[in-house]
Amino acid sequence: MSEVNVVGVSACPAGLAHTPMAAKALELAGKKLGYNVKIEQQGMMGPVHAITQEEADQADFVLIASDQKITDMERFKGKKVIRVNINTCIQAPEAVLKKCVSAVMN
Amino acid sequence: MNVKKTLKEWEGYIMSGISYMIPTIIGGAIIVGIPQLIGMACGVDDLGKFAKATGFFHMLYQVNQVGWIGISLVNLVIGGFTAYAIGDKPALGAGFIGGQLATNNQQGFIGAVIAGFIAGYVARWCRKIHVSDKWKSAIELLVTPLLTTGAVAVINGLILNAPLAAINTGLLAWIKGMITSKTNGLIVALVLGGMIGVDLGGPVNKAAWAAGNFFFLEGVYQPCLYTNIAICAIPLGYSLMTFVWPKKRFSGNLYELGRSNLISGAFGITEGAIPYFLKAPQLIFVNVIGGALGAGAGELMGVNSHIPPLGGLPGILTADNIPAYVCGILVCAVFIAVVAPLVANFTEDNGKKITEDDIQLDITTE
Repeated sequence: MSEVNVVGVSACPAGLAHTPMAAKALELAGKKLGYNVKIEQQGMMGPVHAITQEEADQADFVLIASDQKITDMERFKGKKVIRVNINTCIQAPEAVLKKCVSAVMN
Repeated sequence: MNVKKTLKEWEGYIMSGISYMIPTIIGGAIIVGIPQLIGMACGVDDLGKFAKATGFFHMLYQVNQVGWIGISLVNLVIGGFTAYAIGDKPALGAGFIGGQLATNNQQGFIGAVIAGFIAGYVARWCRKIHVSDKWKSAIELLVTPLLTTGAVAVINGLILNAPLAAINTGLLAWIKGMITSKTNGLIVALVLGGMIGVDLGGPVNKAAWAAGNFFFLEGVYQPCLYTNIAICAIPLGYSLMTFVWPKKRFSGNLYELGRSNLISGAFGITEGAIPYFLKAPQLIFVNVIGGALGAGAGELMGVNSHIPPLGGLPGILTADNIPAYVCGILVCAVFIAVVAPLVANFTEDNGKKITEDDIQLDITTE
């Protein structure tokens, strides 16, 4: 299997704590597992660490750590989008990534 | 149709609406509060007396009125962005209209959310209308706005107008009655304070917060004060915990976090306490009981406010009965600081491990 590229978006109601916590947890877990993970934070201040169209095009799948409205989903047209509960992403980021990868790549 | 999944989606839509409303209401409340506090410091309790005057107090009045605009927009923002979450851009306008309708006709928060759902789902349905390309722009430009706003006008403005207004005013009168009676007021405080502790910033927490704000908009401030006490006291409790217990009882990370929770608590961000809760899920009971105790203590001591209350420690400034507010915070914070380390081990990784099998994926193609 070649390199795994993951992009994603995290969002929570207040956008203060869960949003960056989930994004950082997933990116850190990605580093450990050897995946390229970039998570955009759609929090209180609007999009932080935004995913560009190019990055979106290269991604193998899109991970949404939220059950909320995510803006600019047009970027991910044609991509597999996986929604996961944001708390699960904070608590077990590695397991989330592994499971997503095995669900999408096989 | 999967009922559980639908409810989960609805919850996400309402939370999206609330996430846009939070900055509106906080901005409004601060701009209402600051001139009022300056006025009070100068011995003027009611800036309204200076509505037609000139000079310094009239300037305070003018700024204060801008803040009230923010607060009066809350239903509009909720209606609009709940609709937006469901039906994207074409739903936004009708959602705004429905939200303002809810304000004008005393339908309250509930009316605004229902209008948002109607606007959102009608807009979503409009996208399914298939016509030849030359008519497409007509659908987008005229038919969708007509149908979304028309549905809100007929359903919320006509059919549901009287029942929604009756529910809203009835609910308000009921809670007002409960708050003024001693025992029932305590129940309201215990329930709201406890809810804040359930998920620390998740849907239950935000539901309690929204309930507080629902009454806030009607000028009934006690429920909001009850939630504010619990919101700032829970993170403060975890902070206090790292000061009173020996350092060796905490992992380096959680010890440091205790310091940053001082700030989270001071500004009313319950989310600061989440890492402790993730470490030891049984802390939910400590958080719920702590939040309920704090809010209950505040209620028993008669916490109140006659201007829109600020959250966190700045709330001390806007409270009429400062000892009640502070005491409520202390009761909750001390309870958590003392009890949490007794029921949870903060030293090393001992949290419940989530395995791949526990994780639910919801896969679609965009």
